[in-house]
Amino acid sequence: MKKVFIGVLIILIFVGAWFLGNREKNKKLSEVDPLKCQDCNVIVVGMDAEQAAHVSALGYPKDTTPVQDSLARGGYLFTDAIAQSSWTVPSFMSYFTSLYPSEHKLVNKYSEFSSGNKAIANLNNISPDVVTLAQVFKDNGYVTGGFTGDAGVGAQFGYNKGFDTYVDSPTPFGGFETSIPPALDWLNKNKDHKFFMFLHSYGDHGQYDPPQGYTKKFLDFNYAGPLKGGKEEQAKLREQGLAKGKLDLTEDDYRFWRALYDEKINDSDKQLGDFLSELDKLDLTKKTLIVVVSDHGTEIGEHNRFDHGFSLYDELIHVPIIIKTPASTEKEIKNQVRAIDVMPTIIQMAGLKTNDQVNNQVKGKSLVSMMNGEESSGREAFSETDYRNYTHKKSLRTPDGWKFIYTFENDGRELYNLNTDSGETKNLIDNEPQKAYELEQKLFQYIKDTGQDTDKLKETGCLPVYGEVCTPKE
Amino acid sequence: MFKRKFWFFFLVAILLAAGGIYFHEKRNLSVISGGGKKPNVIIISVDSLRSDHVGVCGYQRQTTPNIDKLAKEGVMFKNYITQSYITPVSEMSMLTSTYPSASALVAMDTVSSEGILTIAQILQKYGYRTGAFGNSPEYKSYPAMEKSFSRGFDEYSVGMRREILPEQQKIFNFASEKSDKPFFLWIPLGSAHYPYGKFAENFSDPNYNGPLKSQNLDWFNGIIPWIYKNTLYQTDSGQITAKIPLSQADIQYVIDKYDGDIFGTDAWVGGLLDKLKEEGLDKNTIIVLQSEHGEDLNEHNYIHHYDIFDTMTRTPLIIKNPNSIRNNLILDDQTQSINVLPTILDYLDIPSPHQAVGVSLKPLIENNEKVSANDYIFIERTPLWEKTAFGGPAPRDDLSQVKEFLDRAKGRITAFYTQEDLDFITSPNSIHNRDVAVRTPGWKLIYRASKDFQEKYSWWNILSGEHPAVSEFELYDLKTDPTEQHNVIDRYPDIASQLEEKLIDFYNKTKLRDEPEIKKPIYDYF
Repeated sequence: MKKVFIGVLIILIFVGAWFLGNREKNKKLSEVDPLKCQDCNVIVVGMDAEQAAHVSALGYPKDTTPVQDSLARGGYLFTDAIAQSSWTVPSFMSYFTSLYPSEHKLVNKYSEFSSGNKAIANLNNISPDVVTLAQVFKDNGYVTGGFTGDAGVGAQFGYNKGFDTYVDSPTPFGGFETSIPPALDWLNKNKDHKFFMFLHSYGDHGQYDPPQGYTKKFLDFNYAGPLKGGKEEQAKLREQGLAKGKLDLTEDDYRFWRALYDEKINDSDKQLGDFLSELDKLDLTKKTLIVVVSDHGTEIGEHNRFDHGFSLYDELIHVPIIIKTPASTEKEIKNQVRAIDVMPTIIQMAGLKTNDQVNNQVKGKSLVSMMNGEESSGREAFSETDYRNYTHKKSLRTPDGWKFIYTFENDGRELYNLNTDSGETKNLIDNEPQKAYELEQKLFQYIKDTGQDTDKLKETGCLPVYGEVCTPKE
Repeated sequence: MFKRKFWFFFLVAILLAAGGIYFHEKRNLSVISGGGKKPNVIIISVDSLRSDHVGVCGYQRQTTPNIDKLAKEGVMFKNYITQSYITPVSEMSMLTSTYPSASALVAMDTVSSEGILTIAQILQKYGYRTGAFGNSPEYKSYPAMEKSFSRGFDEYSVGMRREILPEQQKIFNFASEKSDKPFFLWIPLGSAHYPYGKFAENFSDPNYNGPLKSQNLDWFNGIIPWIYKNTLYQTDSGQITAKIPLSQADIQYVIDKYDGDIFGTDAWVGGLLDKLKEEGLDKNTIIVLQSEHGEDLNEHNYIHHYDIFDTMTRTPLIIKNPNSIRNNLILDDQTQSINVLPTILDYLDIPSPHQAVGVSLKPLIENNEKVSANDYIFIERTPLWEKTAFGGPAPRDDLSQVKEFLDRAKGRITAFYTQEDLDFITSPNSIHNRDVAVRTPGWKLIYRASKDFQEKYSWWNILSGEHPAVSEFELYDLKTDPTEQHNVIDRYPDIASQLEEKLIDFYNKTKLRDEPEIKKPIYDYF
């Protein structure tokens, strides 16, 4: 009898302790929950082409991004965030739909390109049933506005889906100086409503030059090489790299270009700071959830080429993600996360209602459980690029630091151990056959799950993005 | 008092330990299964073994006492359907879980695609020691076959003579080598394949005195190509000099010899399995025994593997995993060559390669879960036999045998074919001719995509001088007509059209896309 009593007592103690522990946790959460921002406004800032390695908060030795750093000091900084593609058109759409590029199908500028028929890819035509994050906000009673640098996120691709107002820069590749003014006008008009805003800048991008010219403020050595900088030169180097597969530039040439890149990042960051000050003045900061993301990085010679889109190395898919709520404090999250996780995270944090269509669509998973420490391991990141039909690459980056890249047109396989080779320079495909095999099978499971025709992925050709000359198929 | 305290702490300790183990297990389930040395794997392929000539599958003769014993220790699938009807083509489907057109190994001179991995290549990646020991000469004598099949093997030892079985000591030495690595053995045995009469004569009638007595029961330098519709054709310089009628007793004489060769092969298998047991090498070893094609024994007027009827594509499959929950089972469920690789990898906890189109049989073996993916089994008839007989590269040795056949056949062939025809059939283009079939447990529909080719080039037409029309579609009711004698397509149009839809879809999806690598014929007769 006594034994039974003791047994029951022990069980009671256990249950009670568990209960108390949980209650304590719940109580803390409900008081000032940094992960909840119900009825908050939401602003997604898109820092186009911002390479993670050039963000000071992420370890860059130069002070390029003081504004983003200060956001990170007051919020969640994801140090290992992976974009689903390496160029704008497919990548931002993965943020806004929580789908892989091959699923939302916005994988190239043209959905058709033959002599008889040229059609710009538009989400409304190629994937009419796909719901965007803006639509979810709209359905939840928010006013929605998008202000962009045009080009890859322009309304012509259907990026305006779900937005009440969508203003693209009058000229392609606009920086914050073209997107912030209409955004502030709109804010002034709508500040008394709950709003969702997408604020985008091409200020870091290779096709953007500062209107006032370069000051070369980050150039810390005497550069005597042939390069001058600027978007024409950048385009030339990009095309040379694509044609030859490599560039014959010196380390100094690349350093020179990095200095210009840093300057653009720094200027854009400063402009973002100005915008946030305006937000303060409008007294909106305390009821606004701010999410800063980038769609892809920029290559400046890491693999002997220029620009982006054509590969899936880390300089192109490792991006910054910062999430700040009025109640959040500094927290760094080192687990690997993905662009597709952002949409469900925002939905959860803002407490939005979603229907089955959205729930079934979303391929990512909310990061809230990671942000509150309940989820300890990172997530497998699948990325894709079908850039200009020049290449078809798919990659898998594992939470424990391996990357497998498959190039379909030539059945090329690459395996990198990012823990020991973050620059992805030593292909271990023959050294680690078992790892390579396992990751290849996982990668192909994604190909299968996303319903792709691998035969089509073998065909390359030309689908222009920047006005390249291509001969359309008959 | 002390006692009570003791019990209290004891209970608390147990509770904590139990909780700890529970949560630990829950978190690490997937990790735990990765540890330890993986089981060894042996695949024994017995060439030309029909399912209905295996004792445990119901044959009235005790042809296979040792295979029967293995079946009792494992699971026997008596309705195992091979993906094709010619040794290497069918075997590659088994080793890669792909259809022939997908692997590109569709003839004796085509090399399989480099991107298609065999189980040997996969297991090698996982640290297995891999060895091939066999005596199916195709894997050695045709350069394209040797290149395709030797991939992934540390040791590749395939003999050229069907009557000389592999040296068992060599296999034991390989298997019992002191090593942290598990082993994989592929043992392709060509000894049940014609020429018949290589081994035991215990089923033969000693008093037989018919026209086949003492004849060489082989293709190239024997009489196999000259038996058709119960007639033995005799020729001289390509001219038919005599047509000798054959009786049921003559055919039975061939069957007896075939059974004898099965018995001889089975005895060798028994010796191997016993020795493995003696050495304790069977304890952590998955053993698969299968045959990649059968043999028509006059059901379709020839003694040969020539088509994709059940006589030639229904063979035994045994899977023995010493750790299986169920054994000593004979299952009627349809299975197929493309199931083998996923099943083995499933047992080894290794992911299947993305090329694999078959599913694992493990759920069926362990839990009796029906495998709906096997409801419709597709078979490719590639290459057409004539391509192999007249157009393909001849084996590397014994060219005299091939020459002998072609010398005998030449008059018939050239009388039949124009030079243009000969050029075509000997060119790589003829690899694109094939037929396909879909099989359900009750029905088989064959699409004769090669109808024109067959009508024109069929060896049996050349031999007999007959020109029967070939139907584009053939439907067989396997329940009432297991040997597929009567095309009942007109009687069951609904069944035919339902199967036709699936079959045409399969046919269109499996087209050989790229020109495969061709290893040039070594011997070019015409």
